[in-house]
Amino acid sequence: MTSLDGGTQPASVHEAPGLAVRDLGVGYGGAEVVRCPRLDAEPGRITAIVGPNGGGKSTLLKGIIGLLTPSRGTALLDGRPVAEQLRAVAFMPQRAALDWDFPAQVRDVVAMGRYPHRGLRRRTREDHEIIARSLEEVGLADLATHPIRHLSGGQQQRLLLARALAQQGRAVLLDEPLDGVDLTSEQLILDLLGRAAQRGTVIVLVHHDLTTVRQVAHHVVVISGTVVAAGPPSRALSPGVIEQAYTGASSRSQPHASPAPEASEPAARTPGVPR
Amino acid sequence: MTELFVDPLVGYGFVRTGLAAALIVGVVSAVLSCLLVVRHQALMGDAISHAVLLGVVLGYLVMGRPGILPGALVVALLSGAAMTYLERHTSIKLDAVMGIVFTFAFALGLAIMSAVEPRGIDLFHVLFGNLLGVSSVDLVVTAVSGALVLAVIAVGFRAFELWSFDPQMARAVGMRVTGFEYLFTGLLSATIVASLQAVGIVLVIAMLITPGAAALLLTSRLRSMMLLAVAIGLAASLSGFYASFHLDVASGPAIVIAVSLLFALALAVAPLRRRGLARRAAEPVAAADEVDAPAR
Repeated sequence: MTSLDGGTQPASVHEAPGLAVRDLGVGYGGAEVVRCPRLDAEPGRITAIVGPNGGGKSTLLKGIIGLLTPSRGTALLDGRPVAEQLRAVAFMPQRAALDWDFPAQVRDVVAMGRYPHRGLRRRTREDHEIIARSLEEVGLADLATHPIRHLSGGQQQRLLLARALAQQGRAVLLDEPLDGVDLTSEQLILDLLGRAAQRGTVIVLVHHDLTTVRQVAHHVVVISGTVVAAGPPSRALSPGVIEQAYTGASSRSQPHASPAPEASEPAARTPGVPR
Repeated sequence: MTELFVDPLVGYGFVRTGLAAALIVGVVSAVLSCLLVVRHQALMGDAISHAVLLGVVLGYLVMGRPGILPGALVVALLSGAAMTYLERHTSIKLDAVMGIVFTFAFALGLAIMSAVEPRGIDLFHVLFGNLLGVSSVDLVVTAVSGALVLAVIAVGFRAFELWSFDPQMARAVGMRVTGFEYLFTGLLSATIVASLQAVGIVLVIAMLITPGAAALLLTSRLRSMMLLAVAIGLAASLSGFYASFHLDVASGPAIVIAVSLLFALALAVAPLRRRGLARRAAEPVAAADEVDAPAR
């Protein structure tokens, strides 16, 4: 492991705000796929989990929110186990995991983001305001009563983001939020995530494209079975790290793995990215 | 008109009982069919209903005729639970698990039946239904279990909706998904047992798929899909019932043919509706589609 955020954060795990993963082991049916000794996602910045296919990025994300039961270790949010505060964590699945022929209108799906708070009870005026605002933010307000089966890929992804935002969680965990979306949607999603981060939300996303990750995230964690590197994109994504990650876990050459220039380019596409 | 529709009801009490049973089955199975269709579990009803034959036989052997429905319910619940359990705890997928469990229970039921040859069970009626043989006790069982199923779905609608669309999110926000699956299997079992007399265990499969599938062609919200499916189920039960009475056709097949015709009607009407929706579209969705990479 290279760097841990310059060692400026408090020494005690339990006082650090944000998401703190410690020695988490996750896998399927007893076989551990990924081990994460340490991952810190602070509020106010976007943390990206990158790495080769099969390296365990999504598996780790699912272990953090309990979709898979970790074989060991803990995931803490503001010092308390994530499992004790599930409604504070919004999860955005890959859109391919969902059936888009499901009979629902756009606003029905956003309204599901209020389920963790409202459950089976009647939605309040506040709920409806939050739902409307979330739709507005992702630019789908005009399509509120539209069947979801008519949405394009980018619109689907924005819809799922609106649902995650409507949950108003302390943390938002996103599995490949930019996979297969058009440029307009990508820009919009990044802007919204940047703004949410600025408001103090913990943002963690799985991202597959190393060429764009430095425009997407303030903090990068490279996963290939374990944590290969962590830190700001310019430091974490050194050519050596990339080679180690991609040759270790995947025999195929990785088209996205380009050498990282030491001086990182200005991050123009995300508001609030430190230069 | 009265001759056709009212006289049969006035003349014979068992006809009224039969009609009531058919209508209850039409409503309850229609609601369940919506959840089965959107969850891609359409054949779960098929599996549990076949397994029910074993329960019918065992129930009859233990308690005589009053034992049929309780026996059916117990075996339905057990086989449904067995399927859910095997799917969760082995690498075998649900479709194969269903095939294994239901054929075993069905074969066991047939084997016992062929060995014992119980006088009180007419295999044809168990398989294909006999509305006019519904006793008032049967009707009460049907009504109570049907009301229970509807109440659970009405109260838990939001949870059923989220669980059906995105079980991952349901689990991620703390819903007890495993318990929910067993609950759903229980509701399905109760519905199948309630439908036993009206349409039989083979033809109830149609009532647990077709109304929901037809409604899905015409609606874009789960709630309206359920309401429309109920209307379709009611129409099928009603028309099937009268056809059965006047044409002297077995009630189960008559109802299933009716619901299938309604599905064909929905199929014919759906394209018209879709064109209407497309015109209503606020954004040229098709253009955006070309920009996006296709879904995996």
